[in-house]
Amino acid sequence: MNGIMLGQYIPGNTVLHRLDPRTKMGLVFAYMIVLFVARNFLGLAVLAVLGLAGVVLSRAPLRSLVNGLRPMLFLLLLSFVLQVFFTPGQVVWHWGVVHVTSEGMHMALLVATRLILLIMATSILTITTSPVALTDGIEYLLSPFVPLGLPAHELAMMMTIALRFIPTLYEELDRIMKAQMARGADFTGGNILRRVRNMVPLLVPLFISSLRRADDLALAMEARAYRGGQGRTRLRELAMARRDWAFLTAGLAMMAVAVVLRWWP
Amino acid sequence: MRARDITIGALLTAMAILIPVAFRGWLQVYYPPFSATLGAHVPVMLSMIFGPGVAAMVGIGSTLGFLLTMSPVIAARAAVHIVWAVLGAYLIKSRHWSFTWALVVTAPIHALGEALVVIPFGFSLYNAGVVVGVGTLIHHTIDAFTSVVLARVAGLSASKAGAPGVPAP
Repeated sequence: MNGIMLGQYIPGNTVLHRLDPRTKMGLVFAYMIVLFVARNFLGLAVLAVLGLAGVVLSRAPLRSLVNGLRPMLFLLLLSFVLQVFFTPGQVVWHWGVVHVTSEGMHMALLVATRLILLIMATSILTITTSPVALTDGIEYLLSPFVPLGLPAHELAMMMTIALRFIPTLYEELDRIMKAQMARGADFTGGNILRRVRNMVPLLVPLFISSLRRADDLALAMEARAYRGGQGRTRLRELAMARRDWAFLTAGLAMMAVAVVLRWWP
Repeated sequence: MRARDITIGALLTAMAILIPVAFRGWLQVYYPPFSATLGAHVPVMLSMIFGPGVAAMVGIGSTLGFLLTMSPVIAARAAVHIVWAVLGAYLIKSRHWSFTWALVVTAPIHALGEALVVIPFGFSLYNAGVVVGVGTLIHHTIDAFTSVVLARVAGLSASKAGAPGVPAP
């Protein structure tokens, strides 16, 4: 286990960093829907311009964006090849039983562009928004579902605690691993089933200490009169500024253009 | 929801997010386009012991966590965990099934769910059904064994879902 990188957040003070998380999440959500509504390259070009504007405004390093694409590279290539060779239509090139159709090439480019833009948009969101701001935004956006029984505050609180404890648990896992290795445990050798068996002595102390930690934390919360979301105040309240409305209007207007272009001949 | 349910849910969510990241490479099985990290389901499986509420929270939490830290495909696959984890927790809590049987029953639902959820991301029917579906079934089985062993060693059971050494409320 070498270093650990969770999330892509890069602290900064760009205009996208300063936007309210709800604005960014709303825009990315709408962007994801419009990506699948847009059916031609003209519409996707408008969305690509919007995405690139986000990249420029976020001043996101190219490496972070490429890293976001890397896990999807195989899927992208596979999807591209499948679409090119197996979509029926007008044959433009063939070699033996292998046929390339114009419809296949069109569909492959469309699907690949959609996936790349989708990943780019979510990367910009996570690069410019801290995990705590994201959970605050999620709580607010889920609040309409509270009357239906969705525990929005509890969910956001749980995510905040989870994200806070990931580095602590990682350190603990590392410590347990080193302690077991000092006793002669070998975690890297053997086949995959042996490695799974070797994982148990790591996970047992980790789970037990985590459950004890959960009990301590619950006790501390109850001792401080924690009683859920009702009447709870925040250190940093979310507030929509003028720039948020400006970005929402501009972003949604461009997406509307992309939707209208769906009917362009 | 009680504070204890929130904190247990949070710690299990943290582990659900941490395990695939920390054990990547070491316990990762990669059979393109399927990839899985063995042990990744263990926190969600253990959350079933603590009831449907905690199971749902861990399922939703790990989905959101993967969306923030990994890719939309992994988050979509993690979203399927909400369904089978809540069902398993319901079987344990309301129908008094054993942890082991709940894990057995939820395996095909888990496999079918993950196979279906990857189709909109461009997976062919063969890759989704055979590679992801069967791969998930095997992954679920291995993680279920680990979870049962872990639950026994840690002294967790459906009737005594308290931390070892700490009396359950």
